[in-house]
Amino acid sequence: MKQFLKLLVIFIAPILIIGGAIEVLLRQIPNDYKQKAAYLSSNANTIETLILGSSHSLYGINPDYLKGNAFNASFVSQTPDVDWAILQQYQNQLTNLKTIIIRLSYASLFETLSETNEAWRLKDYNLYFHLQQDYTFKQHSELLSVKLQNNLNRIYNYYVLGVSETSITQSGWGINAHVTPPENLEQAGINVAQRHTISDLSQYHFNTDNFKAIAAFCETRNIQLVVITLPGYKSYNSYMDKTQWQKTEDFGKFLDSTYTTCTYLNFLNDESFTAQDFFDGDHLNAQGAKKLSVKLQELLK
Amino acid sequence: MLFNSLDFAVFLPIVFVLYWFVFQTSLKLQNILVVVASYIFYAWWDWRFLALILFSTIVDFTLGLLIFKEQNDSKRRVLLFLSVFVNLGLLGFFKYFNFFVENFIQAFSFLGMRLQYSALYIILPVGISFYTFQTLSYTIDIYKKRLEPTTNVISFMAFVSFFPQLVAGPIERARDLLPQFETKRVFSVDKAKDGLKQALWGLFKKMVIADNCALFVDEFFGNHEAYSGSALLIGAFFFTIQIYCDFSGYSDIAIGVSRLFGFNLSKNFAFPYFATNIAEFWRRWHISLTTWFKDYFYIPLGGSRGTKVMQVRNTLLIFIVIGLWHGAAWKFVVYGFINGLHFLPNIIRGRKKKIIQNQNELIPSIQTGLGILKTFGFLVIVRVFFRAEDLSSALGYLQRIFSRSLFAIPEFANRVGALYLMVLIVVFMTIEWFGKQNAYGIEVLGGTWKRKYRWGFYYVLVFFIFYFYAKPQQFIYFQF
Repeated sequence: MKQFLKLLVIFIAPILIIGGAIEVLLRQIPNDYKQKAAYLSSNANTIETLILGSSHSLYGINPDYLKGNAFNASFVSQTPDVDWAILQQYQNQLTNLKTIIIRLSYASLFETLSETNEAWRLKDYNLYFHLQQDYTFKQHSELLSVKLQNNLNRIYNYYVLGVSETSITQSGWGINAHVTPPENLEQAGINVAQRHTISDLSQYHFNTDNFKAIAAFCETRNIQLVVITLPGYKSYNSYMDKTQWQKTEDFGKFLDSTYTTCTYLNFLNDESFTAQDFFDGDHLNAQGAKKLSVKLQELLK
Repeated sequence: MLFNSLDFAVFLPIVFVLYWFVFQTSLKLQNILVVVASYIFYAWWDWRFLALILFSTIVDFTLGLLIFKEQNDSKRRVLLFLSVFVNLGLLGFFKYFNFFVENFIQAFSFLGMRLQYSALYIILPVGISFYTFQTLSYTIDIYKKRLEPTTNVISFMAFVSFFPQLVAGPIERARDLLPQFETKRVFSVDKAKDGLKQALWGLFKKMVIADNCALFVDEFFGNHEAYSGSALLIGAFFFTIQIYCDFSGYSDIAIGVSRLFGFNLSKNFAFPYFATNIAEFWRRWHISLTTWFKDYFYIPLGGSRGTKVMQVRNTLLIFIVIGLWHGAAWKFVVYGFINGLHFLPNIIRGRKKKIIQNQNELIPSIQTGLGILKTFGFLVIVRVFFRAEDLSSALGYLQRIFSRSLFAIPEFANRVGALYLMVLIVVFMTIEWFGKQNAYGIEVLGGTWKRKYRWGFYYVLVFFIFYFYAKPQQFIYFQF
């Protein structure tokens, strides 16, 4: 037995050492999560407007066009449970917070990050935000949560080619969005609407509870809560499932009427947004983000 | 819990250490540990169905003892019938209930009668087809007086639930596995090393070959209308490789892990894609299932005895039942039936299929090579029924393969990836070819090499496994 264990340890040791080295290298790479977490840790007390949500708000709301110190804490695929977790994490430091803007999208009430194909992103919240969104060992490691193939590419890109992974501005706005719309925006809208149509409605109560918790928090602290549905391209809007969208819109209205500090703004079919404002069926580009942010600022006055 | 998950990577060493370092002094404690570990392993998937395993265990343990003690033949028959009824009843309910009711209603609708029925939402408990057959063979063997029942309930619980083979086999016979729970296991370094090597090879087959094939297979079978016949043929080829690497990979891991604990499980695959005809293929594929059906179904039916009509009936029946074992769908019936048809010419002509000998050759002869290609080609086509969503999708898929577009240049996303995968498959099959005389592909590979080269090879396998590791993919046979 001793001989077997000795051989096993000798065989496994190099794998663990190399694995550990890769993990360290990966964690050293600057990324959006790290940058936003660092900003929030040191500047939370100066933030007056906090933007929460998914890629829709990450790319669609540019804090630079909002008055006062605004910060965008949205990430791709972020769901309401994570929005609430971020808010809870920094609630004691957000002493100057006056407004929270949070997206309410077509799929927001029906998806939870841990249940989607994007669940690997949980490790970023665990590692850099220390949110403990998932207690599995895998989601506390860069190496184990993503394919080695991708991780080696990340190491090569950063350490050899010097390519940066960060794609946000100082205020947290996502600059990764393409400037021009794709050739077939019509089809892109249809495709993404179909992808966002969720047949399983089991996450509805979980998500609405998180929204309600945020709304209650804002009410208690007298913080203005702006729940916003961002513009979608017309093909995206027309291919939405009516029931799913109705439930979403009704919930937005419910929040507006139930919580005194809450306002629901629905820009979904706002005709002032044209094809030139989108980079795909449901995401605004830089021009669209500017347009929306300026509008928001007007409404927030 | 999946073998290819981090959960199992943590679970296995814990059980191993407890088994050999904490409970090694007592056989009973070791067996209790096996039972507890196996139940945890199963509960990781769905704890509610543990009750089903426990129920099946208690029923067959009790009936085994009663059948053995009973002298009266008709009473023994009743007890056996009870065991068969309970086991097949559970299987029938969880696996076939909706299928039979729906087809029953459809049959009535042909007669102009409309019956109202909404299908029950029944989850298929993982591994039910495997452990049910295992416990069933136990009571049948006792009834046939081929086996004496155990009086040790812990051993029997361990036999039914043994975690390495609980959810996807090999389907063990009580006479082979049960005595191993009643004998003290002695740790053997060579056996453990060999077990780890086999498990590593199984992981490579599953995570590197099968899971990468799945990326293409899912796309082709999910949208077959969008692809040319040539592309779909590639999809069918990838599925043929996928299912072998997925299932035999699972068996390799199961056998390898069992060896770490001092158990020997039966061989489930014998390089089936090197078979030179379909009869030989079925002797090499999922051996524990085919021998089960041969012993408990085909031979009691009369096997290859009797008139030609009876032989044809028996052959078609066994293949249809094997097809149905995989799932409650007509596509599986057709899959089994086509395989069965392949045997008919020889039965009718009264000839036994000639088995090409001399498979030890390193370079196959033309006759061997042609036989292998012909058999493999047949499997590529017939497996379309196995993989397709349903019978009409399978027919649609095949219709497109056998169209003019078969000669078109295949167009699909990631053709470079497919090419790399082809190269990997060729390397893999070459390794398997040279290892085909052994229990698994790399059993003796590198046996004479210096350790640094041998370990270098293992590190390459480990690298590939991690390189492609992402979200652990379920094994195909879990659904059966």
